[in-house]
Amino acid sequence: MPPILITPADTTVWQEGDAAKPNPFFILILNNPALESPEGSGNFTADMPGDDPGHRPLFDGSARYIVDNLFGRLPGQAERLLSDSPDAARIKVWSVFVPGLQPEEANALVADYHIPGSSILAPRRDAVVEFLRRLDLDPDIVFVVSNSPTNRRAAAYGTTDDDTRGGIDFTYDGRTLCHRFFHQIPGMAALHTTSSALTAAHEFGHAFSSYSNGFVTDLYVSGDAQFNRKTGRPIPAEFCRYNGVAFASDPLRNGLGYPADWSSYHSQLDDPANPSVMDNFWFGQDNGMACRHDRLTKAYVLDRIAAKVSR
Amino acid sequence: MVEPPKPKAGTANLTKEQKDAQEEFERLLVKRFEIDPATAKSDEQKKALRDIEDRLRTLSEKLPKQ
Repeated sequence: MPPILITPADTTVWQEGDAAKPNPFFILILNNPALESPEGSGNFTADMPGDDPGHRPLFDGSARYIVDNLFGRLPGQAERLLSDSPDAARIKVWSVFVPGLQPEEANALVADYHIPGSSILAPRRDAVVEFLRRLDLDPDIVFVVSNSPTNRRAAAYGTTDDDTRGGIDFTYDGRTLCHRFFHQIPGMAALHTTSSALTAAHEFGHAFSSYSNGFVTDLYVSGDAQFNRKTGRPIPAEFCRYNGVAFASDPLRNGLGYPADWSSYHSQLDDPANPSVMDNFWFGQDNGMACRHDRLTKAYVLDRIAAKVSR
Repeated sequence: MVEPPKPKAGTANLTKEQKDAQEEFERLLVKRFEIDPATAKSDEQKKALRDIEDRLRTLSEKLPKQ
Protein backbone atom coordinates (compact mmCIF):
# COMPACT_ATOMS: atom_id res chain seq x y z
CA MET A 1 0.00 0.00 0.00
CA PRO A 2 1.26 3.51 -0.74
CA PRO A 3 2.36 5.93 1.98
CA ILE A 4 -0.28 8.16 3.54
CA LEU A 5 0.70 11.80 3.56
CA ILE A 6 -0.58 13.83 6.50
CA THR A 7 -0.49 17.59 6.74
CA PRO A 8 -0.12 19.89 9.75
CA ALA A 9 -3.85 20.58 9.39
CA ASP A 10 -4.56 16.89 10.06
CA THR A 11 -2.45 16.88 13.21
CA THR A 12 -3.06 18.21 16.70
CA VAL A 13 0.08 18.38 18.81
CA TRP A 14 -1.15 18.01 22.38
CA GLN A 15 2.42 18.08 23.58
CA GLU A 16 5.71 17.68 21.71
CA GLY A 17 7.43 15.65 24.38
CA ASP A 18 11.18 15.46 24.72
CA ALA A 19 12.41 17.42 21.68
CA ALA A 20 16.00 16.40 22.42
CA LYS A 21 15.16 12.77 21.64
CA PRO A 22 14.85 11.42 18.11
CA ASN A 23 12.26 8.92 19.32
CA PRO A 24 10.47 10.16 22.46
CA PHE A 25 7.83 8.08 24.19
CA PHE A 26 4.86 8.63 21.88
CA ILE A 27 1.08 8.32 22.31
CA LEU A 28 -0.93 8.69 19.10
CA ILE A 29 -4.69 9.02 18.59
CA LEU A 30 -6.14 8.18 15.15
CA ASN A 31 -9.57 8.26 13.56
CA ASN A 32 -10.82 4.96 12.19
CA PRO A 33 -11.45 5.50 8.48
CA ALA A 34 -13.21 2.18 7.86
CA LEU A 35 -14.96 -0.38 10.02
CA GLU A 36 -15.06 -4.13 9.53
CA SER A 37 -18.42 -5.43 10.71
CA PRO A 38 -18.51 -8.03 12.01
CA GLU A 39 -14.85 -8.90 12.59
CA GLY A 40 -13.55 -11.40 10.06
CA SER A 41 -16.45 -10.85 7.64
CA GLY A 42 -14.55 -8.87 5.01
CA ASN A 43 -17.41 -6.36 5.10
CA PHE A 44 -15.89 -2.89 5.23
CA THR A 45 -17.93 0.29 5.57
CA ALA A 46 -17.05 3.92 6.15
CA ASP A 47 -16.54 4.77 9.83
CA MET A 48 -15.01 8.24 10.26
CA PRO A 49 -13.23 8.95 6.96
CA GLY A 50 -13.99 12.66 7.06
CA ASP A 51 -16.53 12.76 4.23
CA ASP A 52 -19.03 14.14 6.76
CA PRO A 53 -18.11 17.57 8.15
CA GLY A 54 -19.13 16.32 11.59
CA HIS A 55 -16.38 13.69 11.73
CA ARG A 56 -13.46 15.98 12.48
CA PRO A 57 -15.05 17.82 15.44
CA LEU A 58 -16.34 14.51 16.78
CA PHE A 59 -12.83 13.06 16.58
CA ASP A 60 -11.21 16.16 18.08
CA GLY A 61 -13.62 15.95 21.02
CA SER A 62 -12.68 12.30 21.58
CA ALA A 63 -8.98 13.12 21.35
CA ARG A 64 -9.38 15.84 23.94
CA TYR A 65 -11.23 13.42 26.22
CA ILE A 66 -8.47 10.79 25.87
CA VAL A 67 -5.67 13.26 26.56
CA ASP A 68 -7.48 14.81 29.53
CA ASN A 69 -8.24 11.39 30.97
CA LEU A 70 -4.66 10.14 30.55
CA PHE A 71 -3.31 13.23 32.28
CA GLY A 72 -5.94 13.16 35.05
CA ARG A 73 -7.64 16.38 34.07
CA LEU A 74 -11.29 15.38 33.80
CA PRO A 75 -13.68 16.90 36.34
CA GLY A 76 -13.60 14.91 39.55
CA GLN A 77 -10.85 12.57 38.34
CA ALA A 78 -8.83 11.26 41.28
CA GLU A 79 -6.30 9.23 39.23
CA ARG A 80 -3.76 11.67 37.81
CA LEU A 81 -2.02 8.85 35.91
CA LEU A 82 0.56 10.37 33.50
CA SER A 83 0.60 13.66 35.42
CA ASP A 84 1.98 11.76 38.41
CA SER A 85 5.09 10.92 36.41
CA PRO A 86 7.98 13.35 36.84
CA ASP A 87 8.54 12.72 33.12
CA ALA A 88 5.01 13.70 32.02
CA ALA A 89 6.22 16.65 29.94
CA ARG A 90 8.63 14.37 28.05
CA ILE A 91 5.78 12.33 26.54
CA LYS A 92 4.87 13.16 22.95
CA VAL A 93 1.10 13.20 22.38
CA TRP A 94 -0.45 13.75 18.97
CA SER A 95 -3.81 13.14 17.41
CA VAL A 96 -4.03 12.72 13.65
CA PHE A 97 -7.26 12.81 11.68
CA VAL A 98 -6.53 11.03 8.42
CA PRO A 99 -9.11 12.18 5.86
CA GLY A 100 -10.24 10.89 2.50
CA LEU A 101 -9.53 7.17 2.72
CA GLN A 102 -11.76 4.57 1.14
CA PRO A 103 -13.74 1.99 3.15
CA GLU A 104 -11.43 -0.91 2.42
CA GLU A 105 -9.51 -3.47 4.42
CA ALA A 106 -6.23 -1.56 4.67
CA ASN A 107 -8.01 1.42 6.22
CA ALA A 108 -10.06 -0.56 8.76
CA LEU A 109 -8.25 -0.22 12.06
CA VAL A 110 -11.20 -1.38 14.15
CA ALA A 111 -13.81 -4.14 13.85
CA ASP A 112 -17.13 -4.80 15.53
CA TYR A 113 -16.22 -7.92 17.51
CA HIS A 114 -18.15 -10.80 16.03
CA ILE A 115 -19.65 -12.34 19.17
CA PRO A 116 -23.27 -11.15 19.50
CA GLY A 117 -24.05 -9.35 22.73
CA SER A 118 -20.47 -8.25 23.38
CA SER A 119 -20.74 -4.74 21.85
CA ILE A 120 -16.96 -4.72 21.70
CA LEU A 121 -14.81 -2.65 19.36
CA ALA A 122 -11.71 -4.69 18.61
CA PRO A 123 -8.49 -3.14 17.26
CA ARG A 124 -7.38 -4.81 14.01
CA ARG A 125 -3.81 -5.19 15.16
CA ASP A 126 -2.08 -6.16 11.92
CA ALA A 127 -3.93 -3.45 10.00
CA VAL A 128 -2.93 -0.82 12.58
CA VAL A 129 0.74 -1.81 12.30
CA GLU A 130 0.65 -1.54 8.49
CA PHE A 131 -1.29 1.74 8.65
CA LEU A 132 1.36 3.24 10.96
CA ARG A 133 4.05 2.17 8.51
CA ARG A 134 2.19 3.99 5.74
CA LEU A 135 1.96 7.08 7.97
CA ASP A 136 5.67 6.77 8.80
CA LEU A 137 4.85 7.05 12.51
CA ASP A 138 6.08 4.75 15.26
CA PRO A 139 4.10 5.42 18.43
CA ASP A 140 4.37 3.31 21.56
CA ILE A 141 0.63 3.47 22.17
CA VAL A 142 -2.18 4.00 19.68
CA PHE A 143 -5.79 4.90 20.40
CA VAL A 144 -8.16 4.48 17.48
CA VAL A 145 -11.50 6.27 17.67
CA SER A 146 -14.53 4.69 16.02
CA ASN A 147 -18.08 5.88 15.56
CA SER A 148 -19.52 2.39 15.04
CA PRO A 149 -23.31 2.50 14.97
CA THR A 150 -23.60 -0.72 16.96
CA ASN A 151 -20.56 -1.46 19.13
CA ARG A 152 -19.39 1.01 21.75
CA ARG A 153 -17.45 -1.01 24.30
CA ALA A 154 -13.73 -0.27 24.20
CA ALA A 155 -11.02 -2.94 24.05
CA ALA A 156 -7.25 -3.03 23.90
CA TYR A 157 -4.28 -5.23 23.13
CA GLY A 158 -1.07 -4.99 25.14
CA THR A 159 2.36 -4.10 23.84
CA THR A 160 4.60 -6.74 22.30
CA ASP A 161 7.98 -5.64 23.60
CA ASP A 162 11.16 -5.84 21.62
CA ASP A 163 12.92 -8.23 23.99
CA THR A 164 16.05 -8.22 21.85
CA ARG A 165 16.83 -4.64 22.84
CA GLY A 166 17.59 -2.93 26.10
CA GLY A 167 15.55 -1.70 29.00
CA ILE A 168 15.56 -1.36 32.75
CA ASP A 169 15.40 -4.64 34.63
CA PHE A 170 13.03 -5.19 37.52
CA THR A 171 12.12 -8.12 39.70
CA TYR A 172 8.70 -9.60 40.32
CA ASP A 173 8.56 -12.31 42.96
CA GLY A 174 12.20 -13.10 42.32
CA ARG A 175 11.92 -13.26 38.52
CA THR A 176 13.82 -10.72 36.47
CA LEU A 177 11.72 -8.90 33.89
CA CYS A 178 12.42 -5.71 32.00
CA HIS A 179 10.75 -2.39 31.26
CA ARG A 180 11.76 -2.46 27.61
CA PHE A 181 12.72 0.72 25.81
CA PHE A 182 11.20 -0.36 22.49
CA HIS A 183 8.30 -2.39 21.12
CA GLN A 184 7.83 -4.77 18.24
CA ILE A 185 4.11 -4.01 18.14
CA PRO A 186 2.68 -0.98 19.91
CA GLY A 187 -0.06 -1.31 22.49
CA MET A 188 -3.39 -0.28 21.06
CA ALA A 189 -6.95 0.44 22.08
CA ALA A 190 -10.17 1.00 20.17
CA LEU A 191 -12.46 3.56 21.76
CA HIS A 192 -15.84 4.91 20.71
CA THR A 193 -16.73 8.55 20.22
CA THR A 194 -19.05 8.13 23.21
CA SER A 195 -16.35 6.68 25.51
CA SER A 196 -16.27 8.48 28.83
CA ALA A 197 -15.20 8.39 32.47
CA LEU A 198 -12.07 6.26 33.06
CA THR A 199 -12.36 4.20 29.89
CA ALA A 200 -9.28 5.71 28.22
CA ALA A 201 -7.19 5.36 31.39
CA HIS A 202 -8.38 1.77 31.86
CA GLU A 203 -7.52 0.79 28.28
CA PHE A 204 -4.18 2.56 28.55
CA GLY A 205 -3.43 0.29 31.53
CA HIS A 206 -3.73 -2.73 29.25
CA ALA A 207 -2.16 -1.24 26.13
CA PHE A 208 0.88 0.12 27.95
CA SER A 209 1.60 -3.19 29.67
CA SER A 210 3.64 -5.93 28.09
CA TYR A 211 2.79 -9.50 27.11
CA SER A 212 6.33 -10.59 28.02
CA ASN A 213 7.21 -8.23 30.89
CA GLY A 214 4.13 -7.90 33.07
CA PHE A 215 0.62 -7.87 31.69
CA VAL A 216 -1.97 -5.66 33.39
CA THR A 217 -5.32 -7.37 33.15
CA ASP A 218 -8.97 -6.71 34.00
CA LEU A 219 -9.88 -7.17 37.63
CA TYR A 220 -13.67 -7.32 37.34
CA VAL A 221 -13.69 -11.05 36.60
CA SER A 222 -11.92 -13.99 38.18
CA GLY A 223 -9.14 -15.38 36.01
CA ASP A 224 -5.63 -16.67 35.67
CA ALA A 225 -2.61 -15.02 37.29
CA GLN A 226 -1.21 -11.95 35.58
CA PHE A 227 0.96 -9.09 36.82
CA ASN A 228 -1.88 -7.48 38.79
CA ARG A 229 -3.97 -10.58 39.57
CA LYS A 230 -3.20 -13.78 41.42
CA THR A 231 -5.15 -16.87 42.27
CA GLY A 232 -5.61 -18.96 45.38
CA ARG A 233 -7.32 -19.08 48.73
CA PRO A 234 -6.83 -18.05 51.45
CA ILE A 235 -5.66 -14.65 50.26
CA PRO A 236 -2.11 -14.11 51.56
CA ALA A 237 -1.14 -10.86 53.29
CA GLU A 238 1.52 -10.16 50.66
CA PHE A 239 0.47 -9.91 47.03
CA CYS A 240 3.95 -9.77 45.53
CA ARG A 241 7.43 -8.31 45.72
CA TYR A 242 8.05 -5.81 42.98
CA ASN A 243 11.63 -4.57 42.76
CA GLY A 244 12.23 -5.77 46.29
CA VAL A 245 9.28 -3.90 47.75
CA ALA A 246 6.42 -5.87 49.32
CA PHE A 247 2.95 -5.01 48.06
CA ALA A 248 0.05 -6.15 50.23
CA SER A 249 -2.97 -8.03 48.97
CA ASP A 250 -6.42 -6.50 49.01
CA PRO A 251 -8.24 -8.94 51.29
CA LEU A 252 -11.72 -7.51 50.73
CA ARG A 253 -11.89 -5.83 47.30
CA ASN A 254 -13.52 -3.04 49.21
CA GLY A 255 -16.65 -1.58 47.79
CA LEU A 256 -17.27 -4.61 45.58
CA GLY A 257 -16.17 -7.68 47.56
CA TYR A 258 -14.80 -10.90 46.07
CA PRO A 259 -17.68 -13.15 44.97
CA ALA A 260 -17.62 -16.48 46.79
CA ASP A 261 -16.81 -18.45 43.65
CA TRP A 262 -13.76 -16.37 42.69
CA SER A 263 -10.29 -17.79 43.09
CA SER A 264 -8.39 -14.64 42.11
CA TYR A 265 -7.39 -11.67 44.25
CA HIS A 266 -5.79 -8.27 43.81
CA SER A 267 -3.11 -5.97 45.07
CA GLN A 268 -3.69 -3.37 47.76
CA LEU A 269 -5.96 -0.49 46.77
CA ASP A 270 -4.74 3.05 47.01
CA ASP A 271 -8.23 4.20 47.94
CA PRO A 272 -10.08 1.49 49.88
CA ALA A 273 -13.40 3.24 49.32
CA ASN A 274 -13.37 2.59 45.57
CA PRO A 275 -12.47 -0.20 43.16
CA SER A 276 -9.26 0.25 41.19
CA VAL A 277 -9.08 1.65 37.66
CA MET A 278 -8.56 -1.88 36.25
CA ASP A 279 -11.59 -3.19 38.15
CA ASN A 280 -15.17 -2.21 37.33
CA PHE A 281 -14.70 1.51 37.84
CA TRP A 282 -18.33 2.16 36.89
CA PHE A 283 -19.17 1.06 40.44
CA GLY A 284 -16.91 3.71 41.98
CA GLN A 285 -18.07 7.02 43.37
CA ASP A 286 -18.95 9.89 41.03
CA ASN A 287 -19.50 7.52 38.11
CA GLY A 288 -16.08 5.99 38.61
CA MET A 289 -14.09 9.19 38.60
CA ALA A 290 -12.98 8.62 42.21
CA CYS A 291 -11.23 5.35 41.30
CA ARG A 292 -7.44 5.16 41.30
CA HIS A 293 -4.98 2.50 40.25
CA ASP A 294 -3.95 0.01 42.91
CA ARG A 295 -0.47 0.75 44.25
CA LEU A 296 1.30 -2.00 42.34
CA THR A 297 -0.13 -1.11 38.95
CA LYS A 298 0.63 2.56 39.46
CA ALA A 299 4.24 1.78 40.40
CA TYR A 300 4.56 -0.37 37.27
CA VAL A 301 3.13 2.35 35.00
CA LEU A 302 5.37 5.08 36.41
CA ASP A 303 8.48 2.89 36.21
CA ARG A 304 7.70 1.89 32.63
CA ILE A 305 7.24 5.53 31.64
CA ALA A 306 10.60 6.32 33.23
CA ALA A 307 12.21 3.58 31.14
CA LYS A 308 10.56 4.71 27.90
CA VAL A 309 11.52 8.35 28.27
CA SER A 310 15.12 7.44 29.10
CA ARG A 311 15.81 5.53 25.87
CA MET B 1 -8.77 -6.22 27.25
CA VAL B 2 -12.19 -4.95 27.72
CA GLU B 3 -13.95 -1.93 29.15
CA PRO B 4 -15.89 -3.09 32.22
CA PRO B 5 -19.61 -3.59 31.73
CA LYS B 6 -21.77 -0.67 32.81
CA PRO B 7 -24.34 -1.28 35.52
CA LYS B 8 -27.64 -2.02 33.79
CA ALA B 9 -31.17 -1.49 34.97
CA GLY B 10 -33.19 -4.68 35.38
CA THR B 11 -30.31 -7.03 36.15
CA ALA B 12 -31.97 -7.89 39.46
CA ASN B 13 -34.71 -9.59 37.45
CA LEU B 14 -32.37 -11.98 35.67
CA THR B 15 -32.83 -15.70 36.21
CA LYS B 16 -29.97 -17.62 37.82
CA GLU B 17 -29.18 -19.17 34.45
CA GLN B 18 -28.97 -15.73 32.85
CA LYS B 19 -26.79 -14.38 35.66
CA ASP B 20 -24.45 -17.36 35.42
CA ALA B 21 -24.30 -17.01 31.64
CA GLN B 22 -23.53 -13.30 31.93
CA GLU B 23 -20.73 -13.90 34.45
CA GLU B 24 -19.12 -16.62 32.36
CA PHE B 25 -19.54 -14.50 29.23
CA GLU B 26 -17.66 -11.58 30.80
CA ARG B 27 -14.95 -13.85 32.17
CA LEU B 28 -14.37 -15.46 28.77
CA LEU B 29 -14.36 -12.11 26.95
CA VAL B 30 -11.53 -10.99 29.18
CA LYS B 31 -9.73 -14.29 28.72
CA ARG B 32 -10.06 -14.03 24.94
CA PHE B 33 -8.50 -10.56 24.90
CA GLU B 34 -5.72 -11.65 27.29
CA ILE B 35 -4.26 -13.83 24.57
CA ASP B 36 -1.37 -12.12 22.84
CA PRO B 37 -2.43 -11.87 19.18
CA ALA B 38 1.21 -12.33 18.16
CA THR B 39 1.29 -15.80 19.71
CA ALA B 40 -2.31 -16.61 18.77
CA LYS B 41 -1.06 -17.78 15.40
CA SER B 42 0.19 -21.09 16.75
CA ASP B 43 -2.11 -24.09 16.26
CA GLU B 44 -2.51 -24.55 20.01
CA GLN B 45 -3.48 -20.94 20.60
CA LYS B 46 -5.74 -20.92 17.57
CA LYS B 47 -7.63 -23.85 19.05
CA ALA B 48 -7.82 -22.14 22.46
CA LEU B 49 -9.25 -19.04 20.81
CA ARG B 50 -11.74 -21.08 18.80
CA ASP B 51 -12.92 -22.93 21.93
CA ILE B 52 -13.39 -19.67 23.82
CA GLU B 53 -15.31 -18.08 20.97
CA ASP B 54 -17.50 -21.14 20.45
CA ARG B 55 -18.44 -21.00 24.11
CA LEU B 56 -19.02 -17.24 23.93
CA ARG B 57 -21.39 -17.76 21.02
CA THR B 58 -23.34 -20.38 22.99
CA LEU B 59 -23.50 -18.14 26.03
CA SER B 60 -24.59 -15.12 23.99
CA GLU B 61 -27.81 -16.97 23.14
CA LYS B 62 -28.62 -17.22 26.85
CA LEU B 63 -28.07 -13.53 27.57
CA PRO B 64 -31.04 -11.23 27.98
CA LYS B 65 -31.71 -9.27 24.80
CA GLN B 66 -30.22 -5.75 24.84
